[in-house]
Amino acid sequence: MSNTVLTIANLHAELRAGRKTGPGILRNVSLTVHQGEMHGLVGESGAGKSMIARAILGILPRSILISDGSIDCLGRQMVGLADSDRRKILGRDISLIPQDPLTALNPARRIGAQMTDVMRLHLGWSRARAHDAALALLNEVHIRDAEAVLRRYPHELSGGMRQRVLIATAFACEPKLIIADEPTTALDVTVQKQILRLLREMQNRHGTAILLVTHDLGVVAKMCRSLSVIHSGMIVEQGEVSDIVTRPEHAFTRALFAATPRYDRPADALSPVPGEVVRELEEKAATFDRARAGLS
Amino acid sequence: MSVTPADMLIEARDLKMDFPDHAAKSLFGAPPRTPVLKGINLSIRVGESVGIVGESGSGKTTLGRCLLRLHEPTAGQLLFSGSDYTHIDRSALQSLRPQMQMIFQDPHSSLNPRRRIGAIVAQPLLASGIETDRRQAKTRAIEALQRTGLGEEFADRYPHELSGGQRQRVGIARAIVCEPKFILADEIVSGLDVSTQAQILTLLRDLQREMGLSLAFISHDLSVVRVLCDRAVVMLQGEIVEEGRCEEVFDAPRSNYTRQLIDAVPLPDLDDDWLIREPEIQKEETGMDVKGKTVLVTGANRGIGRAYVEELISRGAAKIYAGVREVGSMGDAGDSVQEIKIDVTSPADVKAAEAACGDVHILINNSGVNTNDHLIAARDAGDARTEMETNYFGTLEMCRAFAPVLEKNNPGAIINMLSIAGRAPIPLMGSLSASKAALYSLTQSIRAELAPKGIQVVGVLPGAVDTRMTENFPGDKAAPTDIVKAVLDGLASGEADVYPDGMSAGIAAGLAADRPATLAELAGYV
Amino acid sequence: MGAFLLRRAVEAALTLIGVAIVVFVLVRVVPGDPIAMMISPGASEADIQALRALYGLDKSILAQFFIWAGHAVTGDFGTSISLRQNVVSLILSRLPATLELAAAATALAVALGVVFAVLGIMWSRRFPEKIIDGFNGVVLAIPDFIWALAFILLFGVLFPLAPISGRIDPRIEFEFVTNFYFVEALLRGEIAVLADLFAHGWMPALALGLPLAAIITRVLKGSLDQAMVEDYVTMARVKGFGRLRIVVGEALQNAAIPALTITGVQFTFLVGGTVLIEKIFSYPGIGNLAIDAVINRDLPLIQGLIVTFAVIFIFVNLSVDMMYALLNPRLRHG
Repeated sequence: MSNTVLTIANLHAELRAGRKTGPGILRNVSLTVHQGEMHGLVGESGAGKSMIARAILGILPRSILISDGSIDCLGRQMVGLADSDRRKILGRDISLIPQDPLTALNPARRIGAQMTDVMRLHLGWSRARAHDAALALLNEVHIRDAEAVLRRYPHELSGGMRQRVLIATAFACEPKLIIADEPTTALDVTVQKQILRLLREMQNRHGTAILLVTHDLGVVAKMCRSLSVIHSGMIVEQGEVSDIVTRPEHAFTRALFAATPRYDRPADALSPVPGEVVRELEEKAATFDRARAGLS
Repeated sequence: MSVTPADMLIEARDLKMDFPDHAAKSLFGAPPRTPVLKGINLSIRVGESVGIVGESGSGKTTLGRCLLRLHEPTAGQLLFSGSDYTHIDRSALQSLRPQMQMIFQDPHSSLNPRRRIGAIVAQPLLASGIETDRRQAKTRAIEALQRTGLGEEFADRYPHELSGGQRQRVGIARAIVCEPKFILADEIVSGLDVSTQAQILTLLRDLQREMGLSLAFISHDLSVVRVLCDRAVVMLQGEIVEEGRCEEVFDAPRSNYTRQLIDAVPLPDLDDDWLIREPEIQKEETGMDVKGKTVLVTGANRGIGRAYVEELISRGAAKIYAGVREVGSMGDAGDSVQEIKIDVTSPADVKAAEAACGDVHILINNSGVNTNDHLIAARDAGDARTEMETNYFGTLEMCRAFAPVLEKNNPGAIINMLSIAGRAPIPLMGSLSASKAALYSLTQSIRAELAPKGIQVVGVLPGAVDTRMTENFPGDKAAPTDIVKAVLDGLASGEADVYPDGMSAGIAAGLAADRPATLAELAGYV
Repeated sequence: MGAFLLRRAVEAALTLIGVAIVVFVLVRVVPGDPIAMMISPGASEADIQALRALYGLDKSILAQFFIWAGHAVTGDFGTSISLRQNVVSLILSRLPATLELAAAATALAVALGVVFAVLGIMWSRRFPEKIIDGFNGVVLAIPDFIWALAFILLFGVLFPLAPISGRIDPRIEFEFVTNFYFVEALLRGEIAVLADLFAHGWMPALALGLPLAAIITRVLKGSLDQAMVEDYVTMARVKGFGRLRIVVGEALQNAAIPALTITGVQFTFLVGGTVLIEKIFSYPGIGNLAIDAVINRDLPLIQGLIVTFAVIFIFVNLSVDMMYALLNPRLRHG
């Protein structure tokens, strides 16, 4: 389809283990993100959602190898792409909103420099033009006193402001796809809502597709149109948010909803994920690995 | 449910905690202190679980640490089963410690990586002297581990061999091994997955009920608090803004901040409006008691001004600046009264007053002139000008000068003495009516301007108190003391406009019911 | 800022006083009589006593100290016993040579250290990195005077390439105004003089600087390694920047701080090293002077020199602290 921005098809990745194939990290993952859409990738830690993000960006750890499948982004095959070609796309057509706004900014460089460098690199703009663009971006993310903020260092800003700066930088070169990796996990809940609101606003204005990686079902339910649930490196359930939130099909998805505490429900409404559900998925993963080891 | 002293396990009374701010320290002298807890009142009953909810900077972690006496409070009291442990020394604390335990947030760093699990869990028993036999301690440690769902084999493992959820269970085992009465859990599920979190919460709830523990659970996550706790306490910037049973707090919150917190949590349901929706802000009840406050009264030497001074003294005001036109006219009014020369029409006086009275909480603009004269029929406009200059501009300048002072000494209040004639003009007192009407409008305007800065603005509209005019007006003539009492009561209950006597209240009612008729009636009193 | 400098000034004064006391006592406690070094063998007892009184050596140590300190705070450090010149002017005349040498050695060390650390990171986990590490290890193990002797042997004796002693060819006819020969020649555009100074100076500078270069490489590479796994480096990769730009533009400034700490400490060893290196190359600086002073038990000169060295160290420490503030924006705002 011509309006898909990202198509991951049958992606397999394993831990390197000498000659043999190590334990699987991503097992036959497929997912699609359409133009202008926000797609939620939900899973627990270690389920593989961060690995998918890294695989798309090409920054997987050295110990992990993509053994099969394809990642097609805007018509380009990202798996096995040469470094010099990849560097032309990163920051320009695809960008990242990171999880921790404190560590993602270089403490020794001013905010302005960290916003304008990517524009000057990919768009070839002069210092003055990039500076003006940075000012406009800061206004878009509702930062007052933009001129002063550009001159500041990261430690002089609050967590919420830092995240706004990072969001602004992600949109700087008008990318087609943004990967938002747990963008609000490190923030207070009231700040989280403001940032999510901002993200939606920016998305609507720029028409960018966003892959929202999170462990929070609530965030996905409120923000995304479609979602993928991942566990043990496998996509467990996938589809429209409106369907899955109201009628989750897979036992694991149902269990996740039941295990999420709610402030509007009494204490006994919480039930932990049943052991059998997790075991079943782990069995499935083990079988998968054995089959692949048999193949190679 | 009435609370007997035997029920109360932990009580914090007016707890305050400051920390020195070394970054702001000047070369000499002690560093300035930042208040983190500003007067907390909290009680935790036996067997009760209380959730302490707040965002970063709310002081919730500091509160938890104070409850465990990890910090010594700057002020206030801490009681454990009725006995005061606020300032007890280290050896006395040692005997208290086994009864109050803590579970930490980070399961990675709170377990010593070089020791085995069994030793980690047994340590509190040995350190407090409850158990001196190592083998006995280990047996008890294994029992504690089993209660948290970890088998005996875990005792010989090292922390790095366990998952995050398992490590958190070890933390819980370590906390319960001494059979404490109270456990403080500080954000213990914040870094965990939903599935692990659910297990730990269920475990903690079951243990708490089995062992009859009191639990203080610190969290930024409202939903987790609802699941685990009986009561919830909401903190904002070092103060408790709301507390109550969880159902009350979350289903029918009273405080605007709680509403904001609740609104910000995304629940896993479909809701298209959630992103754009704002929480309902309800008008907060304001109101100020004069006790302990510093007040400036202009025109304080006679009449209503004098009555203010006396009433303020009797209501326990800390300090009263009596603004007078002539120095010495106050006489001896008492120790808490300080005379200060203010002619409100003199900019120099106003400026000097602003500089001298930097500690004022409440400004009472009482000085004014009444020249009972028509506007058109008067001989010249000189009196009208004086009236406007004193009543309107004088009050305006005082408000402008003192607004920053009141803002700094937040919360603050301004009380403007108007007149019912400001709302219902009386031609015989034309220029008074006009100047007071202008002042009434001024009062409304600055109320809107100053509300966000925590400054309450009260307009007082008495009827005629001036003896010269009382013959012509029906109704009760109010005594200055009654007026003043009504005003201060109105201030305490947060009223905006105060009609302090029968006549003005009657006229106000008439204006509300049938304005033209009332105005006509008043105009007839010539 | 003012408070910071005031505090440092007070600390500096206290340090100097401490140094002065320690040296004063040590030098008098150690065996060896300065007077004995100066006089001819057949001198009479009266002459010896007179000389002793002249130099104040007949009084108690405490009295001697206060007399010396009293003069020292007015800038009078007395007269050198062995060279019979005013100590202060003697030191001041030789100090520029040492300062230039130390500065050259440091500049060399920093340049080499940074270049090799960056190269090591660029070739991280590839074969060339192992070569750099190996080479670095060898250089680290060799002390400065061994380098000095090796250079003399290689480039002075075996393959005569450059002069091996002195600071400048004595046949050069050039009137220097200051004793900062290099700086002055540079400012006055005297190429020939510069070339000669360089020919004389490159070996001592290299001998002094190589050990420090090796340390800088080792430490900087370590802290660069740590910086390269930080989140902001990942962000830079994700923005599309290439490796060199990331190492130099993002990581270096953050990695410099731990390296700076070690460098500051090691620099003191470099300054100490000038003593031996100057002797080996007959370089006319204060290091050379110091050795002779000690051999001759020239107490006033020794004291003056020690105080000079102490001042240099204090100044270097202060500069390192100020560099921290420059490199770490968090420190600038208190």
